[in-house]
Amino acid sequence: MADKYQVPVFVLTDQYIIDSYYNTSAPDLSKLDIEKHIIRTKKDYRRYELTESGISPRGVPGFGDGLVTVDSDEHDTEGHITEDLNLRIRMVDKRLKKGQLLTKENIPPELTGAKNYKNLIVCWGSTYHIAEEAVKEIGRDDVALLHFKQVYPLPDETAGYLQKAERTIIVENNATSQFAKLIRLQTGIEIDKKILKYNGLNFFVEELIEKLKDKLT
Amino acid sequence: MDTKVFDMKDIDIAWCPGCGNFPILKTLKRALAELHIKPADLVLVSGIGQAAKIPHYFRANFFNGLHGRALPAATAIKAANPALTVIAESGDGDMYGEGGNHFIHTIRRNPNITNIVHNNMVYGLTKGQASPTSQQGFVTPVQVGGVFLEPFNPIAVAIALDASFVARAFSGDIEHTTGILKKAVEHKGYALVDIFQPCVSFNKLNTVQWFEEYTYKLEDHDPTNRLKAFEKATEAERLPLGVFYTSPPKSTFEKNIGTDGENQASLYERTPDMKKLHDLIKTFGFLP
Repeated sequence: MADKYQVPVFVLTDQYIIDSYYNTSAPDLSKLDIEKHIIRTKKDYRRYELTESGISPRGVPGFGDGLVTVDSDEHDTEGHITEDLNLRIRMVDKRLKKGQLLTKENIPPELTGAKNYKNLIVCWGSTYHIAEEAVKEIGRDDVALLHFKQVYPLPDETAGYLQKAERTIIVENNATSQFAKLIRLQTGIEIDKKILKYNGLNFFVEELIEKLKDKLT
Repeated sequence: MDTKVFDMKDIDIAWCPGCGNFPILKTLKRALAELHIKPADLVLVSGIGQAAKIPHYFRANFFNGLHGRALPAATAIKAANPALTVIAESGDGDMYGEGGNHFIHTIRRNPNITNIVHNNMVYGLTKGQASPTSQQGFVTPVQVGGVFLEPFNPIAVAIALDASFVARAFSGDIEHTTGILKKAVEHKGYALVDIFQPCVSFNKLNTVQWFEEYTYKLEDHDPTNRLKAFEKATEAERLPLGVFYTSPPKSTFEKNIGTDGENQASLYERTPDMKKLHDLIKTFGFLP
């Protein structure tokens, strides 16, 4: 994604994942696609060419006949600093177009548990397996778990899943329910109940079962 | 080679008339033309500041990035394609202040790049605050009682870290500075060239006349003598110009990490070796 769209990509991790050991099978490398998004530059190459998609083909110095000219300040198509206010708007629009494209490649959230749920438990990142086990242990046919692998951009399906529930409960390993805030910002939906743990440890299944039972409708 | 290959057409230069950046721009073009380095084989990397705008007035590949962060980008560009000539160029504030940590650790990494620092002892872009190399007593609108911090001595720091090439020049002496820049670019390994320059708008203390009075050229100096070089670097009465120090030969960053090894291909020409990756993963002891 970083290479294709030329945007920074943040892969979130946490100490719980880093400190965990478990048995797993070796990844299957044969399924890996190696994509390359670098082009050979022509003499008239412009690093920030205005294109329909917003993505300007990326050249690197020494490959092709063009010069590769990159700037951190607002720039023209050739990478030179500009104070042209109209060009500034065109460049901002170009970058925002990439944001729209990105959402087409969102990793959707994963729903497990009851298909016709009344209670929807939301979690993200490393709380997944703990919440999954807790929901299984509770064993009710009106409880489902929605796990987000990608938190931003927020996948399009999010609002639909939340609206279907009578009650939404979020499980987060932080003090202020950061993901619930993001969901509200992006969808306008307020999560009903929050289970937050922020003493520095991950959730434990038994503890989460107790807390969930307390919140379920 | 004609210096015209580096000229930009129809540009509006933001520097003040009389700025020391003009002669440095001219000198750099001259040094690179004399070395026959083509714009396509050259990458200028800079940070933020008036000096850091130099790539916008110079026809070549460039990466004008974040404040203080020219050196890590330059190191990576060189490592990704060791065939390129890479010059990291910015002012004293950017390189020694915001980028001070990068300055120290780039010397330790020893990439084969040239580090040019326009040293006018003031923050010019932001209109005259004290920089890391400002002299004690220098009065500014922020340091109203005068600077009381010890000025940063880049030459002494670089020699202390056994930098592979350490030099200082003065923007007003194009002949001398061209010679130093050529040596620095041709040198294999990290090369620091600190260039004194006047800031005609915001530094009324360290003027052209001041630099002429308080500097002198090193003569009969043996740059392989580290102790002597350090002694010269710490002189404060009159500041020496020239090549202070060259270390015994040492391996470069790109040689040490292997991109400048038997395989000379640039990173863009390479593809991951899945067989090697597979074999490496197998050593982690996954389930069968």
